[in-house]
Amino acid sequence: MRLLKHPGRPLQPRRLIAEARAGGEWRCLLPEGALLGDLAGRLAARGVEQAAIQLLGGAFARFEYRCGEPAEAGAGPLLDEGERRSLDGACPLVGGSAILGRGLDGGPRLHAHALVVGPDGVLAGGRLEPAGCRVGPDGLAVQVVALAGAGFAAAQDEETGATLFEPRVEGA
Amino acid sequence: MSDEILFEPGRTGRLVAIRLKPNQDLVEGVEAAAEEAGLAYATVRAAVGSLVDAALGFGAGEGAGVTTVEGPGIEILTLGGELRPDRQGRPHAYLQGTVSDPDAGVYGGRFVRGANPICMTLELVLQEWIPEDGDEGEDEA
Repeated sequence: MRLLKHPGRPLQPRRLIAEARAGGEWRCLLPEGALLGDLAGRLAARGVEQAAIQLLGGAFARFEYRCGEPAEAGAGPLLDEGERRSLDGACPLVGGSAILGRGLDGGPRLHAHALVVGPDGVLAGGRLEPAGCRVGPDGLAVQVVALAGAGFAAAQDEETGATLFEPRVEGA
Repeated sequence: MSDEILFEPGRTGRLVAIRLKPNQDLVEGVEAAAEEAGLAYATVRAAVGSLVDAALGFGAGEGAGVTTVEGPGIEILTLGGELRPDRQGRPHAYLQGTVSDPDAGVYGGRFVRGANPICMTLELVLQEWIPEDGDEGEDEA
Protein backbone atom coordinates (compact mmCIF):
# COMPACT_ATOMS: atom_id res chain seq x y z
CA MET A 1 0.00 0.00 0.00
CA ARG A 2 1.63 3.22 -1.17
CA LEU A 3 1.59 6.05 1.34
CA LEU A 4 2.17 9.76 0.74
CA LYS A 5 4.07 12.33 2.73
CA HIS A 6 1.92 15.41 3.12
CA PRO A 7 3.35 18.88 3.69
CA GLY A 8 2.39 18.95 7.38
CA ARG A 9 3.15 16.44 10.09
CA PRO A 10 0.61 13.68 10.72
CA LEU A 11 -1.56 14.69 13.62
CA GLN A 12 -3.22 12.42 16.13
CA PRO A 13 -5.83 11.09 16.39
CA ARG A 14 -5.98 9.59 12.91
CA ARG A 15 -9.73 9.12 13.11
CA LEU A 16 -12.10 11.90 14.12
CA ILE A 17 -15.49 10.76 15.36
CA ALA A 18 -18.60 12.61 16.55
CA GLU A 19 -21.82 10.91 17.50
CA ALA A 20 -25.07 12.47 16.34
CA ARG A 21 -28.78 11.82 16.51
CA ALA A 22 -31.12 11.65 13.56
CA GLY A 23 -32.69 15.10 13.34
CA GLY A 24 -35.30 14.15 10.77
CA GLU A 25 -35.27 12.42 7.45
CA TRP A 26 -36.67 13.46 4.09
CA ARG A 27 -36.91 12.18 0.57
CA CYS A 28 -36.59 15.27 -1.61
CA LEU A 29 -37.24 15.72 -5.32
CA LEU A 30 -35.31 18.60 -6.88
CA PRO A 31 -37.28 19.93 -9.88
CA GLU A 32 -36.04 20.40 -13.41
CA GLY A 33 -33.77 23.39 -13.65
CA ALA A 34 -32.79 23.41 -9.97
CA LEU A 35 -29.11 23.42 -9.10
CA LEU A 36 -27.73 20.82 -6.74
CA GLY A 37 -26.35 23.72 -4.74
CA ASP A 38 -29.90 24.99 -4.13
CA LEU A 39 -30.44 22.05 -1.83
CA ALA A 40 -28.23 23.53 0.91
CA GLY A 41 -30.29 26.73 1.11
CA ARG A 42 -33.61 24.85 1.03
CA LEU A 43 -32.47 22.61 3.86
CA ALA A 44 -31.18 25.58 5.84
CA ALA A 45 -34.64 27.14 5.51
CA ARG A 46 -35.95 24.03 7.27
CA GLY A 47 -33.34 24.39 9.98
CA VAL A 48 -31.08 21.64 8.61
CA GLU A 49 -27.44 22.69 8.55
CA GLN A 50 -25.76 19.29 8.95
CA ALA A 51 -26.81 16.25 6.97
CA ALA A 52 -25.86 13.06 5.18
CA ILE A 53 -27.36 12.99 1.71
CA GLN A 54 -27.77 10.06 -0.65
CA LEU A 55 -28.40 10.76 -4.32
CA LEU A 56 -31.11 8.26 -5.21
CA GLY A 57 -32.04 8.75 -8.84
CA GLY A 58 -32.96 11.04 -11.68
CA ALA A 59 -30.71 12.90 -14.05
CA PHE A 60 -28.76 16.07 -14.54
CA ALA A 61 -29.10 18.26 -17.62
CA ARG A 62 -25.68 19.77 -16.93
CA PHE A 63 -23.05 18.04 -14.84
CA GLU A 64 -19.95 19.89 -13.66
CA TYR A 65 -17.26 18.04 -11.76
CA ARG A 66 -13.56 17.79 -11.05
CA CYS A 67 -11.14 14.90 -10.67
CA GLY A 68 -8.22 15.50 -8.34
CA GLU A 69 -4.76 15.32 -9.81
CA PRO A 70 -1.24 15.44 -8.42
CA ALA A 71 -0.04 18.97 -7.75
CA GLU A 72 3.29 20.35 -8.83
CA ALA A 73 5.95 19.86 -6.18
CA GLY A 74 5.90 22.54 -3.52
CA ALA A 75 4.82 23.32 -0.02
CA GLY A 76 1.08 23.17 -0.75
CA PRO A 77 -1.38 20.26 -0.82
CA LEU A 78 -0.28 17.18 -2.76
CA LEU A 79 -3.44 17.29 -4.87
CA ASP A 80 -4.91 19.97 -7.08
CA GLU A 81 -8.65 20.05 -7.39
CA GLY A 82 -8.24 19.40 -11.12
CA GLU A 83 -9.75 21.11 -14.11
CA ARG A 84 -13.47 21.84 -14.21
CA ARG A 85 -15.15 19.34 -16.51
CA SER A 86 -18.72 19.61 -17.77
CA LEU A 87 -21.26 17.53 -19.60
CA ASP A 88 -24.32 19.03 -21.27
CA GLY A 89 -27.32 16.85 -22.03
CA ALA A 90 -29.07 14.07 -20.19
CA CYS A 91 -26.78 12.58 -17.53
CA PRO A 92 -28.67 9.87 -15.62
CA LEU A 93 -27.41 9.35 -12.10
CA VAL A 94 -25.73 6.09 -11.21
CA GLY A 95 -25.10 7.00 -7.58
CA GLY A 96 -23.49 9.43 -5.22
CA SER A 97 -23.64 11.08 -1.86
CA ALA A 98 -22.94 14.34 -0.14
CA ILE A 99 -22.10 15.80 3.22
CA LEU A 100 -23.75 19.06 4.24
CA GLY A 101 -21.86 20.97 6.90
CA ARG A 102 -20.56 24.41 7.79
CA GLY A 103 -17.98 26.24 5.74
CA LEU A 104 -15.13 28.31 7.13
CA ASP A 105 -17.46 31.34 7.09
CA GLY A 106 -20.15 29.46 9.01
CA GLY A 107 -22.39 29.19 5.96
CA PRO A 108 -23.53 25.92 4.39
CA ARG A 109 -20.97 23.87 2.48
CA LEU A 110 -21.97 20.89 0.34
CA HIS A 111 -19.32 18.29 -0.49
CA ALA A 112 -20.72 15.90 -3.09
CA HIS A 113 -19.26 13.11 -5.21
CA ALA A 114 -21.28 11.24 -7.83
CA LEU A 115 -21.22 9.04 -10.90
CA VAL A 116 -23.43 9.58 -13.97
CA VAL A 117 -23.79 8.20 -17.46
CA GLY A 118 -22.84 11.00 -19.83
CA PRO A 119 -24.82 11.87 -22.98
CA ASP A 120 -22.33 9.79 -24.97
CA GLY A 121 -23.01 6.73 -22.82
CA VAL A 122 -19.67 6.94 -21.04
CA LEU A 123 -19.48 6.87 -17.24
CA ALA A 124 -18.23 10.09 -15.69
CA GLY A 125 -17.89 11.36 -12.16
CA GLY A 126 -15.88 13.16 -9.57
CA ARG A 127 -16.26 15.91 -7.01
CA LEU A 128 -19.30 17.92 -8.02
CA GLU A 129 -19.54 21.65 -8.53
CA PRO A 130 -22.96 22.09 -6.87
CA ALA A 131 -23.60 25.45 -8.54
CA GLY A 132 -22.91 23.92 -11.94
CA CYS A 133 -25.01 20.77 -11.68
CA ARG A 134 -28.47 21.47 -13.12
CA VAL A 135 -31.28 18.97 -12.69
CA GLY A 136 -32.88 17.43 -15.77
CA PRO A 137 -36.55 16.97 -16.79
CA ASP A 138 -37.34 14.06 -14.46
CA GLY A 139 -35.95 15.75 -11.38
CA LEU A 140 -33.36 14.44 -8.96
CA ALA A 141 -34.38 12.38 -5.92
CA VAL A 142 -32.26 12.54 -2.80
CA GLN A 143 -32.62 11.18 0.72
CA VAL A 144 -31.53 13.47 3.53
CA VAL A 145 -30.92 12.54 7.13
CA ALA A 146 -30.23 15.55 9.34
CA LEU A 147 -27.49 15.24 11.92
CA ALA A 148 -28.43 16.61 15.33
CA GLY A 149 -25.95 17.28 18.11
CA ALA A 150 -22.95 16.86 15.83
CA GLY A 151 -21.95 17.24 12.21
CA PHE A 152 -19.18 18.48 9.96
CA ALA A 153 -17.43 21.85 9.86
CA ALA A 154 -14.72 23.00 7.48
CA ALA A 155 -11.28 23.52 8.96
CA GLN A 156 -7.83 24.29 7.65
CA ASP A 157 -6.06 20.97 7.91
CA GLU A 158 -2.44 21.42 8.97
CA GLU A 159 -1.34 18.02 7.70
CA THR A 160 -2.63 18.22 4.11
CA GLY A 161 -2.70 22.01 3.80
CA ALA A 162 -6.28 21.82 2.49
CA THR A 163 -9.62 23.01 3.81
CA LEU A 164 -11.50 19.86 4.79
CA PHE A 165 -14.57 18.82 6.73
CA GLU A 166 -14.05 17.58 10.26
CA PRO A 167 -16.64 16.05 12.58
CA ARG A 168 -17.68 18.42 15.35
CA VAL A 169 -19.90 18.04 18.37
CA GLU A 170 -22.29 20.97 18.54
CA GLY A 171 -21.28 23.46 21.19
CA ALA A 172 -17.82 21.91 21.61
CA MET B 1 -26.49 -21.19 0.97
CA SER B 2 -30.21 -21.38 1.67
CA ASP B 3 -32.54 -20.41 -1.15
CA GLU B 4 -34.72 -18.55 1.33
CA ILE B 5 -34.53 -14.85 2.04
CA LEU B 6 -33.29 -14.04 5.51
CA PHE B 7 -35.26 -11.27 7.14
CA GLU B 8 -33.48 -9.57 10.02
CA PRO B 9 -35.86 -7.34 11.98
CA GLY B 10 -34.35 -4.31 13.57
CA ARG B 11 -34.21 -0.56 13.64
CA THR B 12 -31.79 2.20 12.89
CA GLY B 13 -29.91 3.91 15.70
CA ARG B 14 -27.18 6.49 16.16
CA LEU B 15 -25.53 8.41 13.36
CA VAL B 16 -21.78 8.82 13.54
CA ALA B 17 -19.82 11.49 11.66
CA ILE B 18 -16.29 10.29 10.87
CA ARG B 19 -13.18 11.62 9.20
CA LEU B 20 -10.32 9.29 8.30
CA LYS B 21 -7.03 11.12 7.90
CA PRO B 22 -4.44 10.27 5.21
CA ASN B 23 -2.54 7.00 4.80
CA GLN B 24 -5.02 4.74 6.57
CA ASP B 25 -6.55 1.83 4.74
CA LEU B 26 -10.16 2.55 3.82
CA VAL B 27 -11.62 -0.77 4.98
CA GLU B 28 -9.55 -1.10 8.15
CA GLY B 29 -10.04 2.57 8.99
CA VAL B 30 -13.82 2.32 8.72
CA GLU B 31 -13.76 -0.76 10.93
CA ALA B 32 -11.56 0.94 13.52
CA ALA B 33 -13.78 4.02 13.56
CA ALA B 34 -16.90 1.90 13.99
CA GLU B 35 -15.29 0.02 16.86
CA GLU B 36 -14.23 3.26 18.55
CA ALA B 37 -17.81 4.52 18.17
CA GLY B 38 -19.21 1.32 19.64
CA LEU B 39 -20.96 0.27 16.44
CA ALA B 40 -21.23 -3.46 15.81
CA TYR B 41 -23.72 -3.23 12.96
CA ALA B 42 -23.93 -0.19 10.71
CA THR B 43 -24.65 0.98 7.18
CA VAL B 44 -23.00 3.70 5.11
CA ARG B 45 -25.27 6.73 4.77
CA ALA B 46 -22.85 9.03 2.94
CA ALA B 47 -19.17 8.99 2.04
CA VAL B 48 -16.93 11.34 0.07
CA GLY B 49 -13.18 11.31 -0.15
CA SER B 50 -10.07 10.32 -2.08
CA LEU B 51 -7.51 7.52 -2.24
CA VAL B 52 -3.80 7.40 -3.05
CA ASP B 53 -4.35 4.31 -5.23
CA ALA B 54 -7.32 1.97 -5.45
CA ALA B 55 -7.68 -1.80 -5.47
CA LEU B 56 -11.12 -3.09 -6.41
CA GLY B 57 -12.05 -6.74 -6.31
CA PHE B 58 -14.30 -8.53 -8.75
CA GLY B 59 -15.46 -12.07 -9.47
CA ALA B 60 -15.29 -15.04 -7.12
CA GLY B 61 -13.32 -18.22 -6.69
CA GLU B 62 -10.89 -18.96 -9.49
CA GLY B 63 -12.33 -16.08 -11.48
CA ALA B 64 -11.62 -13.52 -8.79
CA GLY B 65 -9.39 -10.60 -9.63
CA VAL B 66 -8.40 -7.14 -8.58
CA THR B 67 -8.49 -3.96 -10.63
CA THR B 68 -5.73 -1.62 -9.55
CA VAL B 69 -6.07 2.09 -10.24
CA GLU B 70 -3.00 4.27 -9.93
CA GLY B 71 -3.24 7.72 -8.39
CA PRO B 72 -2.72 9.77 -6.45
CA GLY B 73 -5.93 11.65 -6.87
CA ILE B 74 -8.41 8.79 -6.93
CA GLU B 75 -11.85 10.23 -6.17
CA ILE B 76 -14.36 7.98 -4.42
CA LEU B 77 -17.54 8.45 -6.47
CA THR B 78 -19.80 6.03 -4.64
CA LEU B 79 -19.22 4.00 -1.51
CA GLY B 80 -21.83 1.69 -0.06
CA GLY B 81 -21.98 -1.24 2.25
CA GLU B 82 -22.38 -2.36 5.79
CA LEU B 83 -20.55 -3.50 8.89
CA ARG B 84 -21.38 -6.63 10.83
CA PRO B 85 -19.55 -8.30 13.71
CA ASP B 86 -16.93 -10.93 12.94
CA ARG B 87 -16.44 -14.07 15.07
CA GLN B 88 -14.64 -12.02 17.69
CA GLY B 89 -17.48 -9.52 17.78
CA ARG B 90 -15.48 -6.76 16.06
CA PRO B 91 -17.08 -4.79 13.22
CA HIS B 92 -16.19 -6.17 9.80
CA ALA B 93 -16.75 -3.90 6.81
CA TYR B 94 -18.09 -5.00 3.44
CA LEU B 95 -17.61 -2.01 1.17
CA GLN B 96 -18.02 -1.59 -2.57
CA GLY B 97 -18.18 1.34 -4.89
CA THR B 98 -16.76 3.27 -7.79
CA VAL B 99 -13.77 5.57 -8.23
CA SER B 100 -12.32 7.87 -10.86
CA ASP B 101 -8.65 8.34 -11.71
CA PRO B 102 -6.93 11.68 -12.51
CA ASP B 103 -7.81 11.18 -16.20
CA ALA B 104 -11.52 10.76 -15.29
CA GLY B 105 -11.56 7.03 -16.01
CA VAL B 106 -14.14 5.19 -13.90
CA TYR B 107 -13.72 1.83 -12.15
CA GLY B 108 -15.78 -0.21 -9.70
CA GLY B 109 -15.71 -3.19 -7.40
CA ARG B 110 -15.21 -4.27 -3.81
CA PHE B 111 -12.67 -2.23 -1.86
CA VAL B 112 -9.85 -4.65 -1.06
CA ARG B 113 -8.67 -4.72 2.54
CA GLY B 114 -5.24 -3.22 3.10
CA ALA B 115 -4.90 -1.78 -0.41
CA ASN B 116 -6.90 1.46 -0.50
CA PRO B 117 -4.97 4.17 1.38
CA ILE B 118 -6.80 7.41 2.09
CA CYS B 119 -5.22 10.31 0.19
CA MET B 120 -6.59 13.61 1.58
CA THR B 121 -9.62 12.57 3.61
CA LEU B 122 -12.64 10.34 3.91
CA GLU B 123 -15.78 11.97 5.27
CA LEU B 124 -18.23 9.33 6.28
CA VAL B 125 -21.57 8.99 8.02
CA LEU B 126 -22.44 5.58 9.43
CA GLN B 127 -25.82 4.73 10.88
CA GLU B 128 -26.15 2.05 13.50
CA TRP B 129 -28.34 -0.96 12.76
CA ILE B 130 -29.84 -2.59 15.84
CA PRO B 131 -31.09 -6.12 15.15
CA GLU B 132 -33.96 -7.30 17.29
CA ASP B 133 -32.86 -10.19 19.49
CA GLY B 134 -34.48 -13.54 18.97
CA ASP B 135 -36.68 -12.51 16.10
CA GLU B 136 -34.42 -13.47 13.26
CA GLY B 137 -36.25 -15.67 10.79
CA GLU B 138 -36.43 -16.81 7.25
CA ASP B 139 -39.20 -16.25 4.81
CA GLU B 140 -40.00 -18.59 1.99
CA ALA B 141 -38.60 -17.56 -1.37
